[in-house]
Amino acid sequence: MRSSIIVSIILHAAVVFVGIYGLPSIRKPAVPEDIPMIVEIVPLGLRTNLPTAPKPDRKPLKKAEVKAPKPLPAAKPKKVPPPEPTPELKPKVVAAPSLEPKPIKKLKPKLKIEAKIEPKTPQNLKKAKPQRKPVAPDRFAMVLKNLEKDLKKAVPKAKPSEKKREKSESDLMARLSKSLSRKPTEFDPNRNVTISERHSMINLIKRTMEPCWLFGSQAGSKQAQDIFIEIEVALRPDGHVSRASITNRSQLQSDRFKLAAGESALRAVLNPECQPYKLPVNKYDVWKDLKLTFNPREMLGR
Amino acid sequence: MRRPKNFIAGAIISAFFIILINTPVTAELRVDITRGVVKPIPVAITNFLGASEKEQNFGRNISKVIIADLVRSGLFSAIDDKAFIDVEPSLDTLPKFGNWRVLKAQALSQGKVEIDDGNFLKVQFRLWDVLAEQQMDGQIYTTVPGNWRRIAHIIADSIYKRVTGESGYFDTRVVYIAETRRGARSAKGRGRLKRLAIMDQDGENHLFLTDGSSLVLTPRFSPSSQKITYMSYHGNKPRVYLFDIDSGRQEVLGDFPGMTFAPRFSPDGNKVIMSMAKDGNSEIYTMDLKTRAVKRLTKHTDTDTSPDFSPDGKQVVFNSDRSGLQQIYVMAANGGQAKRISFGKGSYATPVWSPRGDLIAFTKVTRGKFFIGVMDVDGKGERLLAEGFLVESPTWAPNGRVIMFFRETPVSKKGGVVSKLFSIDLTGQNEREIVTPMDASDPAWSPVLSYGRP
Repeated sequence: MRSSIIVSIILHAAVVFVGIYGLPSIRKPAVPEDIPMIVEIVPLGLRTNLPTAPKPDRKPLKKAEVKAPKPLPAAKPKKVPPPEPTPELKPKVVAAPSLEPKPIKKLKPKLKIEAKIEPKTPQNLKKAKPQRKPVAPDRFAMVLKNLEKDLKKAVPKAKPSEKKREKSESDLMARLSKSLSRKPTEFDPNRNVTISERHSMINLIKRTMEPCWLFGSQAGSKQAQDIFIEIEVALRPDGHVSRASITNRSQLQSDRFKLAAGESALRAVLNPECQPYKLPVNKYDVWKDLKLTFNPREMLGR
Repeated sequence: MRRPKNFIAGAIISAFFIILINTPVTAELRVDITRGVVKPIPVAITNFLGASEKEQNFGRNISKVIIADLVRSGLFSAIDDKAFIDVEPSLDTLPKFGNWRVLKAQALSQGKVEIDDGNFLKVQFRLWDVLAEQQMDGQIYTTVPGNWRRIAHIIADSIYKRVTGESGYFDTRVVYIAETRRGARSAKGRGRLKRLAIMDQDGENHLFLTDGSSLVLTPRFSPSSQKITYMSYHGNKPRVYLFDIDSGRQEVLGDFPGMTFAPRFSPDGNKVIMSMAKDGNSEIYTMDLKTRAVKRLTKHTDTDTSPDFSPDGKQVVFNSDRSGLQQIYVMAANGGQAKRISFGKGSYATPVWSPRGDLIAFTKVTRGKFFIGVMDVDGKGERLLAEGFLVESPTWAPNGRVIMFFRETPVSKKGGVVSKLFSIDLTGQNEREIVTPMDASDPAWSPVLSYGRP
């Protein structure tokens, strides 16, 4: 009798545990494929981030700056603009009170909408010559940089002599082989989070994101409660957004209101005012890819 | 014999438990954003470029009107052009988005004005999403130079539509009753000179349509043509009239035995629905504007008035005091059983169906105060948006997002009042006065001039 109670308690505990933590993904290997990233990349990073590397790129950039587009000759912003025609407040009496029709000022000819400017993709447009905005660095390279920083912190600083460099390379190789030989049942601590850690991350993202979603234009709409937008976000280790896209765009495309709502949510994600997300760096693997859903049900009280 | 079995079961469960707690949870981080902020979207609107001074003048004025329209909507805030890094960016190159991001702009509008050989005004504009670095819209309009204001309103409508997803309402006009104060307010408004007037929604291009020799009330715009229906006391006989703005023609609608009032057009513009009072009771009628056939919709011993069609033309909302106080009722467009939908404290009047079809605006009187409010078409979800000593006569913007009404405010103990037009966003935010040359009441919003009722 007693043992069956114990068995029952254990079974119940197991059910509760499964309820709280979810079913394990047993099929997936516990250690993700990220492991090779840890060390392999470092020497590449050192090479690609040599201080002399950007030099050849700088010249053309400077050149481009020189070739700034000429301001339109006619645009003279310093000229005092002529006063705007004041509206004629003295109204004209156009129609008599009697029922006899009196002509009033006719409406002007209807507007002719000549053509719609084809929305050009940025590539189609003639690019401004001064390319001040540098080409966004490769995402992979950015990860390298940050990993490199982490590594620099860990390794004591020393002037790299030939021997030491060889040694450090061999150390790296040793560490690489060690990490590659790790058993799949070993867990990467970066990917393990407790429930409370997970919740605090979610809360931080919500707190950061919600003040940035300008919902005013959608708030009074008939369809406001139907808004449901999914956005996938890739974050850099420094908490800045490196890439974001609406994943259910096809559902929004057919309805201009929903599309506008989706774009407003995307702007909230991309808004530099709302970055970086101050998430724990050591848990980067957990939050580097986010899935955000935007649904204003709380605001609308429905 | 039982003990070993129990032991095995316990061992299996314990093993399962150990596996379970050692298995990593690899679910992705998913965050539900359920709140945003109701704040205007910051936009940068540059002066529209032009080659000649004349074109530049047009460009500057067009930009000013666009900014004024968008800011007045309460959904946009314009970034001060003094802060612009790129003062006059070319329309033919990609904007330097970084220069706009630092100003916190989320959208950028730029344009160009050209006057061609035939003295036609050609206006181009582009709208950019600064954060996504993508073009959102681009249009070219050609018209006579005198229409530059309309071009500006149309561009403002395009920006509004593209960013909010809802139709704009800037290329519209408002017809209203212009009042000249003559001291104390009398019961029938005879202390005031009342004239029918029309203006753009921003108060520009103001015109009087009548000279005030007869009292005029409750003008309403046709949803499909440049026609207005209103009630006039011409010849001391209060009747409903039809006024054609293009030709200036006006005519009496029908020859009713009693006083006709509170007219409104049907959504297709082919009918007028109105009240007719006779022997102390008023009922609701429709008149077909082509055949002039009249149909009575209500038959009740109590007053039925202020009718309005639903946007699909299938139902009619009106107010009636058949339950004691004035309340709002809905019935089929061809009459029949009416269903009461307002049940709040106080009395309800002048119901107006939203062009979107989802709400009914009304005037409510309770505890000695007047309110403008909205409710769902089944009477639920009542919200009061504006209040005052006297607020009345709500009219919807063609996109169903903004309501205009008039507010009387006492200015002297002798009964003197000032009467002004106001607009308010459906959310209850952004109440703004519509500036008119003199006192104003009974506003009625036109459909969008460039593409009709949305």
